[in-house]
Amino acid sequence: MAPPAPDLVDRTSAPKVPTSDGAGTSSRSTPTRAPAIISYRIMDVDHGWGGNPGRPRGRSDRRVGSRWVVGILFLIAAACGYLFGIGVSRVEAFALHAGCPVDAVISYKFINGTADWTAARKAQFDTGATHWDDIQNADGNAITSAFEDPQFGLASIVLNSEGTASANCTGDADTITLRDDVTALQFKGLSHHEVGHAHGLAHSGRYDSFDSDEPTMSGCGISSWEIMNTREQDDAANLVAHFDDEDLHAIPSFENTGTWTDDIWGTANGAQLEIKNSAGSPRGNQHAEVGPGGDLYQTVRVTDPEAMKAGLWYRKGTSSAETGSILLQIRARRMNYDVLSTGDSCYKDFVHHWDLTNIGSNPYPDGMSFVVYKQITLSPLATWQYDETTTWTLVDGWEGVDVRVWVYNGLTDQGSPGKLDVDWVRVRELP
Amino acid sequence: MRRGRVALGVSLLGVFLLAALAGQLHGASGQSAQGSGDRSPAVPFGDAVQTVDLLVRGSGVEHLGQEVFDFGVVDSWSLRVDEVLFVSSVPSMQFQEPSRPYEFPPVEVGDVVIVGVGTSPNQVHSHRITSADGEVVVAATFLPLHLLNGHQSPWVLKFAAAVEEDDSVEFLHDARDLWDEQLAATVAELPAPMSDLEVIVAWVAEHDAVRAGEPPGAVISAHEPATSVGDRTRDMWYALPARERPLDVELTPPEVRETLVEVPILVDIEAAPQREDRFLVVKSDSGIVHAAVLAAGNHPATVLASPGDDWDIVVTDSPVGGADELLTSVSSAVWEGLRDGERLLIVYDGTPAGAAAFRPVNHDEVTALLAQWADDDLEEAARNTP
Repeated sequence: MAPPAPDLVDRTSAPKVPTSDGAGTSSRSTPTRAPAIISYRIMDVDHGWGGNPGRPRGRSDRRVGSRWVVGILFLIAAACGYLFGIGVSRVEAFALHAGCPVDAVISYKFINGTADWTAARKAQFDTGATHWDDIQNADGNAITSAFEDPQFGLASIVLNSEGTASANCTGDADTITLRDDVTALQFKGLSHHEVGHAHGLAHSGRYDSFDSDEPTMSGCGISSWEIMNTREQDDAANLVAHFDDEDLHAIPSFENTGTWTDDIWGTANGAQLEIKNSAGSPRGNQHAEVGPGGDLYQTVRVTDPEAMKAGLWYRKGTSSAETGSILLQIRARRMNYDVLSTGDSCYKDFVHHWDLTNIGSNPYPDGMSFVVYKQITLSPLATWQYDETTTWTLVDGWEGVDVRVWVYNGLTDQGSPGKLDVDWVRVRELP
Repeated sequence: MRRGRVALGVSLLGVFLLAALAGQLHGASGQSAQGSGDRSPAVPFGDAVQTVDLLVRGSGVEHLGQEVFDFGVVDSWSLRVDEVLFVSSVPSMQFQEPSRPYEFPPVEVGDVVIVGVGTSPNQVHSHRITSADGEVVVAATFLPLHLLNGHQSPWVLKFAAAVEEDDSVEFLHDARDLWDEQLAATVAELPAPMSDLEVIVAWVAEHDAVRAGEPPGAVISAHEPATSVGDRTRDMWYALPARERPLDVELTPPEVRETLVEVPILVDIEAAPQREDRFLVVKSDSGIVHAAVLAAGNHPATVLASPGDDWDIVVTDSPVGGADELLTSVSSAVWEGLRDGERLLIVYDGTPAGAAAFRPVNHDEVTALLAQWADDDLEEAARNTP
């Protein structure tokens, strides 16, 4: 008997605990870990309560209801949710502890600060701000949306003549301040970074992205603001985890297309990866065809790991004549991932940051190699099925881990290597 | 109105109790904050030098005061110019579209120039001229005065540093340690020794040349590898003892990776030795070929190996640096002799004698083994399902 099917509710649209009044003034996160997690889920409350699951959520969805009812519901639901793991994220894998609440929708207006906006600067900001919006969830829906609303924009984008770039979330609206004494490319990169904060992302570390490129959300020590124009695997995985609760990968499904998809997924043993349009996919309208034969994998760097499973939707390839088995694995390596508290204002509030001093010493205490920790062998049918490995509970004291999900395609088709259809290949942290 | 206040109180009580509950469960102290701190990244020194229009050596620094705005404060300083080190040929910034031509105000030795800098209340790092004694080097960006509010001159402070007699510099910046590190790393990459000040002057001049269409110079070229994250994995891989280097699809440097060949294997770990704290590792002189915790059980894998390498199959308490127990060795002739459709089957039965067997298996055997493992996994899943 196969393991039970997963919860197919789109977690990005699942009801969350409502707020008291939507004013948001009490919804600011804290630098300590646990309360910050709670505030992330509980206080950022206007996301999807009865909303459209296919649409990014945000402040514009706010409804002010009976404050008595909402307040009591808030208390009860929040406590129950936390205690029983309902609607409260346990994902601590990324930089969730932002100063800003999780806002999918950012409406903004331009404000002159100590410098005046020009058309060129506005266009550069638009480019950086909207760069997040092409990240899609497992069902192919955009996760975030940023747009200019000169009259009612809730986020004020202030231009300063020098020295300042920040996202500041005091009160109901964000204030993003940007410096004017930078190049166009640097300005776009800073805009991308600061709007990432407005969506709720905190700083990540310079070495957080497994693809070895500096993340857009990297904080201190970043080598260039220009590189913030390029969103990295860690940034996307961070955003996905923010709005999906459990998924740890940058692309758990195959809805994001293009070169970036190819960069994230890897193939081995001669496999070809082809993204297929298919209205019948379990998640979204696209899936991946792996074959003939060969392997598919994706790796991500996470922190504070606890317990996780790998899972996938799968079926035989296009001919449906394939026979044989496939395998799903969790491979991993342990990392030293210290929290820096050196007193440097750049680091002291960070929860997750790969200690730069570890780079030259021993970042991988159990060695640099990936080790197979969990696996499950499966026999695909012609119809879609979902299966997961058993739970991998990590050893206490692991500060970080590089996790690789690996799909081995052992199907054959009339004696030759066969094709395998997969969707929603992911490692998820257990709620 | 009163009802609203009470409701708000209930809500806030909920927040408080929940935070307290979470804090208790996680052993953390609850806090609340009305606003986030600044979340801006530190200024990378490599970026700061990109938009320098004026670089002077000066003295007699005087703080002219501070003007307060809604979004922060603007500080201004004056200093006497002792040496003009650099003036860009064209403004480093593009202000309008289409860009309007601007001319810098002339700066000569003996002039007193004014530079300003703005700081937001939550800014993490500040540029400021904190030292009024001795010589300083000051870099500024030109911005048209009509675009600036609260500034007394079009020179916006980019960075300032105290200059020692040997032309070494000490940045006057909150993130001076970071900047010193970034500058030192770049200096270390240069082909010929240069003083800090020489490097800074050359650096800003190179960026001016790049804006004019020239290729990057020696300092820009040195800065990139000095700060590249991408090289870290490569550096770490090469720094390991050869037998500890992972032969891996993502970790092995490309020039080594292309010399490796893919080898299909099957690992059969009997139920008895399936433990969470022991590993089966395939090692070679070129690096680690494969590693699995014994509890992972049976699995196929496509591994990378260097032609000609013999393999040692060990059981150990740690993939690296553990107490290895050699089970057996596999001659390169065995795995290199695999034919199409064949895999190398490695069987570890966990007997006290500590032995592992290996043999090539053909396609039919592979299929049968995988089918059996799939059935086993289904049975295990059924047992674990409530």
